[in-house]
Amino acid sequence: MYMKKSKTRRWCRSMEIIMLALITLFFVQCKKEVSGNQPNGFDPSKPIVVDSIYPKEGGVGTNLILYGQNFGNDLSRTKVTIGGKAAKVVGVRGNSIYCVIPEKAYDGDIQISILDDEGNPLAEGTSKEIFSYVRKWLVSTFLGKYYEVSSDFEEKEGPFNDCGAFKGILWFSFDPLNHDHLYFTADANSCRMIDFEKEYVNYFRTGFSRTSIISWDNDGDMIASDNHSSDTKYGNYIFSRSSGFTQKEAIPVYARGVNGTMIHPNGELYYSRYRAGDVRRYDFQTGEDKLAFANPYSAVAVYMVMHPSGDYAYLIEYEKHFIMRTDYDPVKKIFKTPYTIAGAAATAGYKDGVGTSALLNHPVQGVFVKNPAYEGNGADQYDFYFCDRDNHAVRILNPQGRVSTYAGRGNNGTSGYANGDLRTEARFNAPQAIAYDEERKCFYIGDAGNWIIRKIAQEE
Amino acid sequence: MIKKFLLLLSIVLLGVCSGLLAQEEMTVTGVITDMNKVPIEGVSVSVLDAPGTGTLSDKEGRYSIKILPFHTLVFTFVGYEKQKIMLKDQKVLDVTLEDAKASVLDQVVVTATGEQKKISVTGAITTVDVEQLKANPSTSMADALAGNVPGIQAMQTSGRPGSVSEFWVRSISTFGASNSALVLIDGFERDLNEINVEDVASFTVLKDASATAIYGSKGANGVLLITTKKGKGGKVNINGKVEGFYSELTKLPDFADGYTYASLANEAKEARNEEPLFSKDELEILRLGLDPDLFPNVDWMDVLLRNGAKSQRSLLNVSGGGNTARYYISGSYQDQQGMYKVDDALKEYNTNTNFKKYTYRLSVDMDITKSTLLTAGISGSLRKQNDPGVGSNSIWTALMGYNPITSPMMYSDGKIPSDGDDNGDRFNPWVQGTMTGYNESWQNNIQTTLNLRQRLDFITKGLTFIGRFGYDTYNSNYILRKKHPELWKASRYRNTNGELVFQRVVEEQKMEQSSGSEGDKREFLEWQLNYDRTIGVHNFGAVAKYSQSGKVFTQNIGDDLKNGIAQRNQGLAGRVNYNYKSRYFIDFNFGYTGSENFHKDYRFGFFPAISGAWNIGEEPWLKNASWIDMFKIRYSYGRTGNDNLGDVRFPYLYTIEQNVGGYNFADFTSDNTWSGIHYSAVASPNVSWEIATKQDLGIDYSFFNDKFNGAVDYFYERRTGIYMARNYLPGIVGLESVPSANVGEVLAKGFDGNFSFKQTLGKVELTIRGNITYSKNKIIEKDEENSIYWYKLEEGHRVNQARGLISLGLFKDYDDIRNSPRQTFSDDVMPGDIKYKDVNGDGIIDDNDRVAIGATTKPNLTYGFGVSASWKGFDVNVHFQGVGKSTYFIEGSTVYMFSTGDGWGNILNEMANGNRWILGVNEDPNADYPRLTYGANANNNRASTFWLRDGSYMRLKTLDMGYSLPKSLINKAHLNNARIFFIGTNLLTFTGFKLWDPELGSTNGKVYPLSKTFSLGLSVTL
Repeated sequence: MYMKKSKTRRWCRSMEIIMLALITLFFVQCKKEVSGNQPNGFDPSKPIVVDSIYPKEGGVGTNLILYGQNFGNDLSRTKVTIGGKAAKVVGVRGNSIYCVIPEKAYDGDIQISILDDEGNPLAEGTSKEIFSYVRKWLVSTFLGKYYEVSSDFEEKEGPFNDCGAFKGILWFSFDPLNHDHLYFTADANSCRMIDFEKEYVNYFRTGFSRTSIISWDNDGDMIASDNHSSDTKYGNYIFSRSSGFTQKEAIPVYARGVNGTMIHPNGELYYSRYRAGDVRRYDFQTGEDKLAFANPYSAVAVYMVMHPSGDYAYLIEYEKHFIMRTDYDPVKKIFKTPYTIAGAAATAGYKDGVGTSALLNHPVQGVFVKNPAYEGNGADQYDFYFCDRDNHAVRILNPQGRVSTYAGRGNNGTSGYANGDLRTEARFNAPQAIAYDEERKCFYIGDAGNWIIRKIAQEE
Repeated sequence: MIKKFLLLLSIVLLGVCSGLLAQEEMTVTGVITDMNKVPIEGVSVSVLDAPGTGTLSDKEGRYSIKILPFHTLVFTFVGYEKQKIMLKDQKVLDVTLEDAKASVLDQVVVTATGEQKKISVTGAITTVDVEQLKANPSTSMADALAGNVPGIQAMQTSGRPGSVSEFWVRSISTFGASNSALVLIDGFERDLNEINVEDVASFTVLKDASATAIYGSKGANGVLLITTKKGKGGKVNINGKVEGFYSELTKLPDFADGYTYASLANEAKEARNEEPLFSKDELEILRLGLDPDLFPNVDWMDVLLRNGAKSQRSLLNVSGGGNTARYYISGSYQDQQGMYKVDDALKEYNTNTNFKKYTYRLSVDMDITKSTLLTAGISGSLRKQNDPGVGSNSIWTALMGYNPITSPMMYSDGKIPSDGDDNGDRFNPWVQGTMTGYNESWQNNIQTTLNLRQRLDFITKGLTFIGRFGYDTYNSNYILRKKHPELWKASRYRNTNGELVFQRVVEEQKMEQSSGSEGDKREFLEWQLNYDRTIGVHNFGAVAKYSQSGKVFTQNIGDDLKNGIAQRNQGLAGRVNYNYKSRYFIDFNFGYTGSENFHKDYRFGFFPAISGAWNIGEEPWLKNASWIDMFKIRYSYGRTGNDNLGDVRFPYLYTIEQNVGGYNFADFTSDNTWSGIHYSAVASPNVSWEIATKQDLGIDYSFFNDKFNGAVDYFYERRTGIYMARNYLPGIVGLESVPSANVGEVLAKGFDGNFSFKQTLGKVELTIRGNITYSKNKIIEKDEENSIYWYKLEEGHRVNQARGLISLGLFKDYDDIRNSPRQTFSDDVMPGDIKYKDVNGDGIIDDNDRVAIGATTKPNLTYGFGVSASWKGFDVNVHFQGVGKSTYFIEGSTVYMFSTGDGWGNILNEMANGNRWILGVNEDPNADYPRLTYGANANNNRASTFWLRDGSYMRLKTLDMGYSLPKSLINKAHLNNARIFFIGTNLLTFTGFKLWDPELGSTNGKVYPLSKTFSLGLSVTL
């Protein structure tokens, strides 16, 4: 009996010891996890080593992963500089760091610092490998505020850094005589004038309920169009430069549903009519108004962009998802019946390709931009960049009729709001307006769905 | 009267005897008590082989009898074992009578017309062993029926606390509105789920027409009869039981981690010549866990679900009474907790799903006169349920939809993430489970029953009148308090500065309240006359019954007058039976019942059934074979009906509506429009109930003193007149709406049976038992669109037959595709896509090649078997349950990997690591999963044998172990019985289906799984 008891007791004791050991172990374990080397996983007695980096080259915004040792675990105490610029560190895990290449990190040398409580470096390490920095064309946000909560939307005049958001940007137009003034129309929303000199955005009031387009005559006066639905109202008005574009005078011809206007270097005004489905020619000298040609479809918003030479113009058939070309007859001084140049009529889609094999989805404004690569080719030297609204992209139509995608739809996506590399990152949301700034060598994109103006430019 | 007469007789006789044998006789006295030491009055005491020498015990259990030495005294009393004691010369003999062990011949069965001896039953009736149902930890008895009761097939399709099983008697034999059985508790139609199993005295399942014809147009889908416990006279009997549960989910879907998910997504993109979804650097970031915002690795199941939940139940019942009145009172409480974790910061309310059930029951039996028994009963229940605001279905949709990198639990700046809105379905699971408020719902029920039983022996011997009245009120309410925080979604990419770009996907909603209720009241009235008489070898019985019932909705009935009209039923029923020497039985019964839902010409129906039995065991030429206790063959043939049309009220009435528009009888600008009227629903005046014509052939047996016993039944049922819409009437008929008619026909047949074997090995008492139910049905006629291909019709196939294409494996290469019939579902079929069989041989694969494949989701075979053993105080009971002949398709965003194309849908580990067709790596045409696609794949993602899974399983349903404390110990504590027990349920599951719990029958796994439960309890009898 006694023997038995002592056995049990011994067994109990050994259990006790085991339990004690387990508990101790538990605490040790905990301690290791909680504090360990300070700060957080960093061992000051050891050096910070960068073994390798991935990827080896890229530009601003590229994700960079650093592999090495003794990086610690504390995000707030890890600092990485690349090419002398502080890089955003997103994650750090002992043997790896994820950071984002900052702007203008041209030199590409990588330095890691672990900071103490006051933010002073405790230890530093340098990567042997140098990141090769490439200057890229990038999409950025130029003007306007992006609202994460859409109901916070504000519309106002103001300096570039506080000018609210812009709804419905439809058409950009530079003042041909003052390159610091860029106008845009916005259909039923307010038109604006962007003043690059004063860095200020003003309202531009036309007095129309829907302003579709602004163009300029050869005297430097502005022609703005009222997109109304009445057969007995004037559609196009001249805003005189002399009045500071505050006085308007109607062109005395009834015009319903004007979406596109253009003025030929010879001085005639051409305007498209939505319901009638035609393009008419108006002569300022004689006051004669006549049909230039019938559009193959009616009930289409036809936007028109003239080639700088005046030899031809592109007609962007919004609802029918394709682009036509009309050539100028220099003898009769009139544009001729158009023909399809890109996209399949009445078929929406997204596809790069030549002529009708390319697919578009609600294209809007386009702009001719001289391409230095074509110099010496003699013939046409301009590419046509246009906003493909519902494909959320800026696309290029080259002189041979090939359509390709220039910017947007980043990372296999469609719409969105993302800046950065033109094709791998950038996203637009229903871009409609586009302008090319010859002086500043950049594009402005009216990002109608994001209510802001985006900019495409090469990194300086 | 008789007593006095007997006493007088015995005195006289004793006097005679004493005169004869005066000198040798002695007088023996003593007290007769039961096991609880309570004296028994009226025990007959007699001397063996000395007819006429009897006496009875008095109120104190005392008796006194004269007997010669070395003679045997016999003590008999109803309900107790007969005892024989040989006397030498003692003068005082106290006797304790033991409770009677029921013999086969004495066993009674509760049937539609009252209690009946088992031996005389001619229909297919199963008596459920209520003890077997008690181990079930669920809140409803329905969950314990599958595998325990022959003739019942059941399926538990959700494990959420408070959800209950669906079950069918024998087979689904209709595609009409209702295939569920009629449940009668104490004679009235009441809810099975609200009764506490401990209050059940008897539970029988009536399966064939002879047992259910009495219920007329309500009996076609089988009937469950439950009677509740009543008080017994004598000492107060107190029973208590407490039980604590710990439950875990049986089987959770096992999902791949973030890195595996992303790699597979890239594989899916690349397999279809698209750019990979994640770049190399992003995969590295994910692998290293460097971006917890955009590339987290969340195990959502782990985030939201607990490892286990604790629940409990307890009950107490008290019964007792005296000679003139007896009572039974019981109360129970059950609390079942769910598996959702709760936000610890939330103190005001609980978001976890749970279920609480309170029941009470009072029943008093009063002997108003010697021949009049009045029973008054009142019972009720309160069932409370809690669920997170968005509801459990939404949560499980999100748990299956959120992949590990969809979003983190919380963004590093404190914003709460969500993939989208979709009425809450796309909120992240943690938000759904803890931040959307809660839904509190409850159901309560009060039932009153009054029962009068008057023996009318003064008219003719054996005649009894029974009157029953019931009044129930039921209501069900909910208060939903819903809210959600502001939810954000980070854009897929960081901006050039490496910062997150957010978009608010859901606006904040402050807590908002909504509520609803429904309720009904029911009234029942029944009169019944019973007649039972034995004259010599002839045994007669007859029953006549009148019943009426009404149910009316009391809340939320809207403005449609039809909703406020009570649903009434009325019926006459009767039964005549006769048996000769308990050997040949014949039984005729009928129901003549009506429902106010039908046109008056079709309102009442006559449902007769006839049955007979031959008890071979009672034949004289077998009387010598004493090992046969009972061997009975029975057969029944009859009709019953099913008047349940679902929500359709008064189909014989038409509805007239005013036309839209019309003609303006006035000048332009004035308005004097007249519009016509038209039938918006034509009347279907000939509509009536479904008719089930049932046949049943069965054998009941009991051998070797009930050591072996069991029953086997073969059934054959033809269901005609199934109510359905006539959707395919030709347009030439010119009807504006679709009328309905009783046109469908289904044939169902199958068998069910059970056996048990009892054996005592030393001190071990062993019982082995098993049961099986198998059924197969076939649609004979259904109003459906004609097809040139017979196999496209539902006719000739099972009700709810699974249909799809026949898969021939995966395409080997492009040559294989070129040389095979063209598959029309998709333009670019590639090697590794599913290849289908061209059933009709027309050279193309399309919907005309869909055929019946597999069986049905609901099982067609259910079985159960088990062993129980007891040794001294210990007892063990093991019960297995299984189903077969069940198949279902698996589909949905987790099975059709990446099919939504927007990252919705998690990926199962089984699929990630299984034998998958991979371009250039594993081009196995017999792989288990096809070539991946990112986005929809109309060729692969459709019902076919490729995705058909066998739903059969077998599981260790119950393991019940107990120890009854020794009497010597508990008697000191003034207890009668005390048992400590452990019960485990769903402990083991054997199945070929590995993705989630096979019993759920779920095609996509988006349901609350079933639980594995361990419970520990104590039951005490005072």
